[in-house]
Amino acid sequence: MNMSKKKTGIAEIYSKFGIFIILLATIIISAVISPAFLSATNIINVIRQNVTIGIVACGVQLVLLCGEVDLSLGSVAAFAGCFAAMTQVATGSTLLALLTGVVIGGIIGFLNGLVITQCAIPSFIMTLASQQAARGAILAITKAKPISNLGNFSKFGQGYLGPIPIPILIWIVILILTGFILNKMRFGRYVYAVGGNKAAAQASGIKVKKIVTRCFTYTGLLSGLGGVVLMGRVNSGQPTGGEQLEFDAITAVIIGGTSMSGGVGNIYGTIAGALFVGFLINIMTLLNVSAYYQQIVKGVIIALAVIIDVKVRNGSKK
Amino acid sequence: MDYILELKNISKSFPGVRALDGVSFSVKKGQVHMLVGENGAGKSTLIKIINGMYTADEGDLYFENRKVETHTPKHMMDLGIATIHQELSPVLDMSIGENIFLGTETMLIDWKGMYERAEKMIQELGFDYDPRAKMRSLTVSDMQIIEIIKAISRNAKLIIMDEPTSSITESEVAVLFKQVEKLKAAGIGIIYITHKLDEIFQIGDKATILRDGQVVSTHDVKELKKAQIIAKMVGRELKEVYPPKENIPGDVILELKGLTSKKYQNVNLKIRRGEILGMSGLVGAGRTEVMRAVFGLDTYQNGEIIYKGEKLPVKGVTEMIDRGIMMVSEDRKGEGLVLIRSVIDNISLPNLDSYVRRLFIDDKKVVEDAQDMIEKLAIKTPSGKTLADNLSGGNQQKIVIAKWLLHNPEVLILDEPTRGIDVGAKYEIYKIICDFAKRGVAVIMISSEMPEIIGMCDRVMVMSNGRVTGELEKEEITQEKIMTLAVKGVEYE
Repeated sequence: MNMSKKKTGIAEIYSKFGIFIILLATIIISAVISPAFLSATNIINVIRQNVTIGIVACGVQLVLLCGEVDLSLGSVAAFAGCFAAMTQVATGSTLLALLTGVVIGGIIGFLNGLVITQCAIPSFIMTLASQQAARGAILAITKAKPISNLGNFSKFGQGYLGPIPIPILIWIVILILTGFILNKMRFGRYVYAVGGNKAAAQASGIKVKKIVTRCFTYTGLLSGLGGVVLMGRVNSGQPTGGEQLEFDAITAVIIGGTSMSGGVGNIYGTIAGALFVGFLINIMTLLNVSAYYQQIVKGVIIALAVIIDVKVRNGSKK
Repeated sequence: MDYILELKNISKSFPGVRALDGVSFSVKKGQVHMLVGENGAGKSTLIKIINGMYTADEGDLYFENRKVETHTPKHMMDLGIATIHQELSPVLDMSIGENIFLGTETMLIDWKGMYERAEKMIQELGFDYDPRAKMRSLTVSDMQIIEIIKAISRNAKLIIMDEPTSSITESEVAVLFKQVEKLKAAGIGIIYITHKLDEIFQIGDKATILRDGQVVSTHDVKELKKAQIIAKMVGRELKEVYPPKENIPGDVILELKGLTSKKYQNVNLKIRRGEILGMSGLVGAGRTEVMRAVFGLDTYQNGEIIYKGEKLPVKGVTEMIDRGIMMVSEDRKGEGLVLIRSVIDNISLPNLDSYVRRLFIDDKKVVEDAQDMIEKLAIKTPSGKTLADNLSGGNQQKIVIAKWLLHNPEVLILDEPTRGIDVGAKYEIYKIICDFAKRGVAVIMISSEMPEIIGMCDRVMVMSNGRVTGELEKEEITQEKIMTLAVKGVEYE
């Protein structure tokens, strides 16, 4: 009896702090094996490289929290990012370009959510479909050619505000916004309720479909923003950009302790999850581990994270 | 008229079932209206129409003398209808406070204010919960109390309680009833669904009896007698009837010697062919765990299982089924049936191997055998293709038994075979069990219903706290003796 109680305790501690301990361990170990790792330049670089993942992860966290999944993020980022780039070229207005990217992303996300809730389609299938369609559409529209001559547009990916890189600043704003939604707003609490127990949410008078649709819309908006930052960093509209982005973002959220079955998880975990993935890839790169092996490691980590999630959940049920 | 709620000629059908047929029903302020009926009588459907989960096919619903046009959970809740569900549905990973106010929050959450209000409310009602604690940390009865607090917090005018005492202890029932009295005094109408007839007389003002989706009658509780209710519920005079005991036990087929694991110690037990052995004891005594080990679902640490004279190796379920040992789980819906598949699919599921002809399944034979079972066990279903989910509990249980019947079991373990099944269907299940015994099958019946154990079993083993505390035979099997053995040793630990 006492044994099992103690076990649950450890499991609970893990589910609350696990990723932070792992992140810290990763940083310490990396610093020991590679002196280059802990330099300010390297750290800032790692964060900058992973900002897109971090931004999109904030969006997909809401979708995962309400028990759904979104696989279209990468394509949506490319689609919206390219449109933003085209707007930049056409109008020369960076602000308009940014707005275009975000709004287009939001529209696709809203459509995803609408079809999923109104037609009662599994989100896995619907977003797989829109992943294909969005990618195909942007390749067709751009004839698979990058869009260049973006002028000020590159600021979103490369610019600085004082000493701080603009993309990192954008990420921080999004983190604060998402944290605020999740913890301080009714909408965020409803996301947890829907993911925790759909029937209870409905019986409490929550409009479940509306909440789910909003989550997809939010994800779409952030995917669009992620696309803008991504295209800004390479200073061109890349119709093939953002591939694998959905997997990296979902990996970050899951590793950060958000449950695949919904209802459990917080924004701090997602920050740590995104940084962990970034640092891990970075240290492997510094150690000259081939990209192929890096991908294997990523796969193993996401499997481990989900296994731990399931174990912790079973543990706390008893 | 001070009716809170009036239903007029409500009808509702599901594929294959007419769940409600012209039901009229009304509740006054400050009144506890009891809703009784067998399983499948339509009580659950009725309350789901009242709380907006379902929309009626026909008929009208009036709330405070106004016709209700929008039938959504949200609208019904806004009107002042709250439901305390039988299968409770809190959000386990949220706090108590959040659960109480779920659905009524303001755009921005005022955490401090919310917890203060929750705390105040909990105290005013005389309870002692920390509103910041996770719902997961509560027991089922505590969750029930929270649901009531939640209903009160929304100024509900009508509260529906769906079998609220089915999973709570006596002292908690007293607490609950006190709350019901308070709600009554405050002018709140209550619809109270129950299977426990005594409760009707304890707290009821009016009682409506449902049968087969229709209202049989509505009475003032004062003018009502228990026997009358039972007769109206089943449509016939009710007696607990069991098929005659005429089993002739043969030789020993299965023997447990000193079986031990964490949940039970040193269990010794013999079962003969053609015998019905009862396993009695309180919930958690270890009966199910022992039988799960026999069936190969769990492993054991010590001891041996001897089957047909030889020691059984510790193997999995498939092995045991091949040898003729089968078990019907107490969790019919969870482990016994694939609810979204048809009756035929369910019956044939564990037997598919035997239908394979050159790689493919012989569909004709599958349907033939399943139809045969549907007739033999008198499974009431519109057709073999009807989904298992659409049948009543009794008929679902028959499907589970049919699965194994096709497999020719030699030892059949039944775990709570009649739980949640109405009286009429119970008798049919009993007859089927006796038929198994007559054909020489050794039947082991785990049951928490004492009359059933006494009425059906040739021999009874009683377990308490993981140990066998006694064995009773024939005339020795009485309620008192079983109970004495069942509580033996509980004081320790």
